[in-house]
Amino acid sequence: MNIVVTINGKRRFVRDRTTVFEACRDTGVYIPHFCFHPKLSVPANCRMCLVDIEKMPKPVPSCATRVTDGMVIRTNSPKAIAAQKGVMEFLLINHPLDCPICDQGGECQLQDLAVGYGASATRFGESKRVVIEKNLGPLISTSMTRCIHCTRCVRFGQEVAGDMELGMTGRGEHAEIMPFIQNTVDSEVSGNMIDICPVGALNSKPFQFSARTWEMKRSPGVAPHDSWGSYVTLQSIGSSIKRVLPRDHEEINECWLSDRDRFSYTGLGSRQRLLSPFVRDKGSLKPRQTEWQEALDAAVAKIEATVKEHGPEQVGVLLGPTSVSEEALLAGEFIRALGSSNIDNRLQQRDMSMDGSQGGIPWFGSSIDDLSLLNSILLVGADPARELPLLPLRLRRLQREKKLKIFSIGAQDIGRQLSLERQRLLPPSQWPQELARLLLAADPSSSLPAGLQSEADADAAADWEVLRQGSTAVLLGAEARRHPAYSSLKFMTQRLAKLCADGYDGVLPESCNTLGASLAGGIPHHGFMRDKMERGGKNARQMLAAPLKLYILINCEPADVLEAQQAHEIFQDAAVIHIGGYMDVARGYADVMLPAALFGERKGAVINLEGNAVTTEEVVPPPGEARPVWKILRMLGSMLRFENFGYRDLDELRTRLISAGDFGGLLVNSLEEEFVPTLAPAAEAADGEGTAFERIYNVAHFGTDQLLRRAEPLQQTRIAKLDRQAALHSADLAELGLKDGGAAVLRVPGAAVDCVVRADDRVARGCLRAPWGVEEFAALGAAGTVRVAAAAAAAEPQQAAAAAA
Amino acid sequence: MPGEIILVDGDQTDLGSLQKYRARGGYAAFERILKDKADPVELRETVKSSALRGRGGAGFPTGLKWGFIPPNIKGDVYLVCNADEGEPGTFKDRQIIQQNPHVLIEGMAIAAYMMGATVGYIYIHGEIYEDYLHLEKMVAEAYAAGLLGADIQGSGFGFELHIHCGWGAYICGEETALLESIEGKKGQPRNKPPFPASFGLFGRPTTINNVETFACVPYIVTEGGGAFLEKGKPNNGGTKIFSVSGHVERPGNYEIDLGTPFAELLEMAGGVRAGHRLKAVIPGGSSTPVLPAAVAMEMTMDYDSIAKAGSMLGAGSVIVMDETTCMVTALQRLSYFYHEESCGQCTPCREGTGWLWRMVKRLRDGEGRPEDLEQLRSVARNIDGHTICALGAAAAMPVLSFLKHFGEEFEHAAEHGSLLVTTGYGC
Repeated sequence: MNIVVTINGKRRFVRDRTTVFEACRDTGVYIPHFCFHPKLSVPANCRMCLVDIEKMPKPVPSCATRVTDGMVIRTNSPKAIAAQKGVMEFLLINHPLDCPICDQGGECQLQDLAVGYGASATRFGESKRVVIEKNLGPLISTSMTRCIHCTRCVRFGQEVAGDMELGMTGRGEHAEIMPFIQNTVDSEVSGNMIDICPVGALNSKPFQFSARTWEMKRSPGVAPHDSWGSYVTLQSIGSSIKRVLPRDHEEINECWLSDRDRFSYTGLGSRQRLLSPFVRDKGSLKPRQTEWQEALDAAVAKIEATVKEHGPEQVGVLLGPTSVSEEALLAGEFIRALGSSNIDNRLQQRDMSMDGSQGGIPWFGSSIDDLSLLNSILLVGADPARELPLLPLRLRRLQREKKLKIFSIGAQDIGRQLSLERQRLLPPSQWPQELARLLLAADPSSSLPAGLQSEADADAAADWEVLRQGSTAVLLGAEARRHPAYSSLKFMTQRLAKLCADGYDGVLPESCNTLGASLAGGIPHHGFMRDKMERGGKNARQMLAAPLKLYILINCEPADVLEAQQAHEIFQDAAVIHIGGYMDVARGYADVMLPAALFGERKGAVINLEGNAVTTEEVVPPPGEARPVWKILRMLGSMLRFENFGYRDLDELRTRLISAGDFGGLLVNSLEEEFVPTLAPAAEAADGEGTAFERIYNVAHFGTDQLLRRAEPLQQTRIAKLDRQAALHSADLAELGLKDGGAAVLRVPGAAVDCVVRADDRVARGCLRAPWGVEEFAALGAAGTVRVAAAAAAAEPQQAAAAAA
Repeated sequence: MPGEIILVDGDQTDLGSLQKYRARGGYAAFERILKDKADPVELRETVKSSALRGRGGAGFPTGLKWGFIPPNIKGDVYLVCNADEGEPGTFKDRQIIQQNPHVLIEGMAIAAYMMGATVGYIYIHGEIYEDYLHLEKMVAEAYAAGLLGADIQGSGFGFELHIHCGWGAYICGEETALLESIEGKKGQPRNKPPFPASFGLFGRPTTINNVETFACVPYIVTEGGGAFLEKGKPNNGGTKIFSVSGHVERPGNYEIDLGTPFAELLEMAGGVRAGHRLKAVIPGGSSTPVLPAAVAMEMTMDYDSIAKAGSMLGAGSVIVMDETTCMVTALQRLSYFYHEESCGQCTPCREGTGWLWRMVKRLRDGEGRPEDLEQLRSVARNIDGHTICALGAAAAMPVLSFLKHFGEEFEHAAEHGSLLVTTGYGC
């Protein structure tokens, strides 16, 4: 319903129940403000937005005052201006005059408004306040003296992120923003506090003092890590990316960005960056730097020799998680031109039994924005905060705005940010049974995967009563995707979703272009746009289970696959052409290393979990001799005299992608009707010392791809540190006679790992969290069961504690 | 003329137990209401007709306020008693709690009955911990006697009363900060609207009143609104306890009829200390504007007369100053208090109170500048009315009134770098 108000003498129709601030903003009248943020609650504490309203004796904060019919608002009357100028003076008296050395300079709300509302000289003749710096970790730098106490950062944590990491302590002039004593800000989305800070109190530590905002070129892009597909702006000077910021996109990332996507650019300039081609001479251990021509010749020679001697079946392509769609397309065409179909981008999927029985590429099942239509969600094997840091933010918003009910089956407590109707905390091996309970509660006659026994219980019946009504999503998280019984879980979620009144099932894809890579042909059983293959190739598991003679690794390193250490050994024995960004790992096994352009340095299209295809541009030139992957593959293809490899530029490739038509129809979660999975009995733990635990199928938050693993600031975070340590439930830890931070030995057949073990009650009983994607646990391989025991030597716990400290 | 309503025997009042209170007819009003199943609307009308106004400082008509609670509401309605008596010069609530605690409990119970409140809180500040313990004992007595709790005396009406001990933040006397504090949060005032009557404690409709306001209720209910009103004057019903402090012979609490001349009150307190003469009076607690002697001697002690004189009755905390008082030093003390007690939430108060204090302190220390006086006024005006709660205004009003009435002392300090009056405490 519209009402009429008068704003600065002009009659305006505005929406009822909006605030004066919003009414003015929507009709083009700017009101100065600091504490107001459209995504946060309204504390009205900065008092900058005071306006003059007729019949009100005092100026009122426009952000906290609702419009009423006939209201006469003056934002620029002498009374309003005097109030605003008065507040501005108060804000400035204790604010340091250090704009020339402040990173916020040029993009500072206080600086901007001081031009309009501040006096040119101060009347404040007293000493200014100094506030002690806080250590908020490796991502956020502080200059707390500059803080104007708007509490946006505090409210972001409490309201949006769901982690109360910052608060305002002290009273009056002693009020300070700080974390709990000795804590840092450790959430997965902490960088957003930098964005919303209207002054230079919270700044980006990696970016600190490196550029001025007006010097930088701004280029649109899309976030390179999780599959949320956040829109970003890359800011660069010359050939280096200085900063990555969120680009507002209400339907997807709103105005937020995860720390992974925000700070991973710091890995681009790593000292380990592969800047020129290398080849390893026969009999030599160390690769030798060389020219492109020689390296390409060497690669072609390897390929030709392998095909000639062993046949094309002995060549395989492993496609790493940061590859864009064009790269995947060309890689698929390349290996198929060679006469093989050994290509896979699903490097961590254990259960491939659905290949050939799926109706399409599994996806999210709906658009992100359509989550708002849901009444309930069942998450299976998902850790939203770590997989898709912006998903819990969206779910929290929906829980605030409407009663979205969330259920979870998983090995980790995800209730930190979400309020859950019910959470079944169980070791992964019990998930199929637990899911079956719900399925049987929904339909007692439902068919189950072969070999699965289960029965409904009262809880399941109660949950089903909620899930069946309204609109329901059943989503499989990354831990479910890596589960040995993925097909059984998928089969059951699909059945369950169909039984709901209005339900669908979906998955949470792992990386930014999981969908694009699969659609473009980066899977063994389908070619480009799901062209049916005459003869399927080997999937990632098969390529590593029975080693091939030649691997072409594209943006892929051992840490990207499940059996990291074994893969490293396999690569050492086989011939390897490494096309990637870094040399530190690859130099240990690669015969030819070809430097590839990474995020921001190459064009490419990525498709996010909802099927939103976004193209990114080349923002900065690739460093050194690095080239985009598509160019490298195209050269190799031409040298091997493949047909149709004469692409002159990426646009030709992209045209192929686009002209293939609507790929939306290929994003299908359903399985073919006749497909019934078989549940393999859970693997028994091998005999040995220690207690057997099931390993949670998670990957380190900052270890999911080559770029993140080199992003130094992210590797220094508390999240990264804890990911390099094992974790057990405190009760399990106590039973082992271990203390939090104690030294433990993790054993799998053929390997033992010494590590620090932490107590973490987010971990389900009977589970061990020892993530993939980090060096520390590489030796554990793909094993899902690990024996844990206290380290033998008595002196070790102290050392471990010291190391942990 | 010792008051007849709360401090029934003046300083000698001794009703610190249920037995003694009962012996003076205590709880009769409450019990009769329960027995007669009195109509809450009628009772509220009685309060309205008594012209009882809030005794905490704002002087809002109590009957009107109690009508704000939406009737027939589902769920809890809360009643909160503000015993966070923190304003310099105020010490009446403490004496009520010490000497006649059950009148407060009975008053709250009756008020709860009128508003359909089921749960009550008394928020008492941490500095008077012993009195808090005493009050806990009194509440326990009332529970034991079946005067509090569920289904009191089989009437179907239940009222649970809790006492919450704060830890001494002045700001927690602001009603919404007080609510935040009870909720376990940092005591910071909320934005209004919404007002507590619609969104109060734990988000529920809530009424908050001062100790003395509740303490008047049993009398009003027993004797009728008219009797109470007659004690005062129109629009200013009843008696009021004035806490007289400063340069008088007998500082203390005096319960007098509203409308009594200030001169009479001063007389009761023994007059200005011997050999000295009246210089200034702060009539309602440190946050109310100061009045010079001549103006004060003309006024009567009630809301309207004091307002006409240019100040406020406030909580009835009369601070008397004789001619030895250095007004610059006095203001410095007051400004320091507000600087120290600002919660820091909103900008003008957080930044401005410290600035005010520093300027006054400089003046007092002989480091004043000619521009300081105008700057003091301007900063005070920039705070006043621009803040979330009234603490900003409370800090600004003393500054403006001291400068208005005793400007020559400040001018002297700014011009000569020395104080005009050097005989006072702290000079």
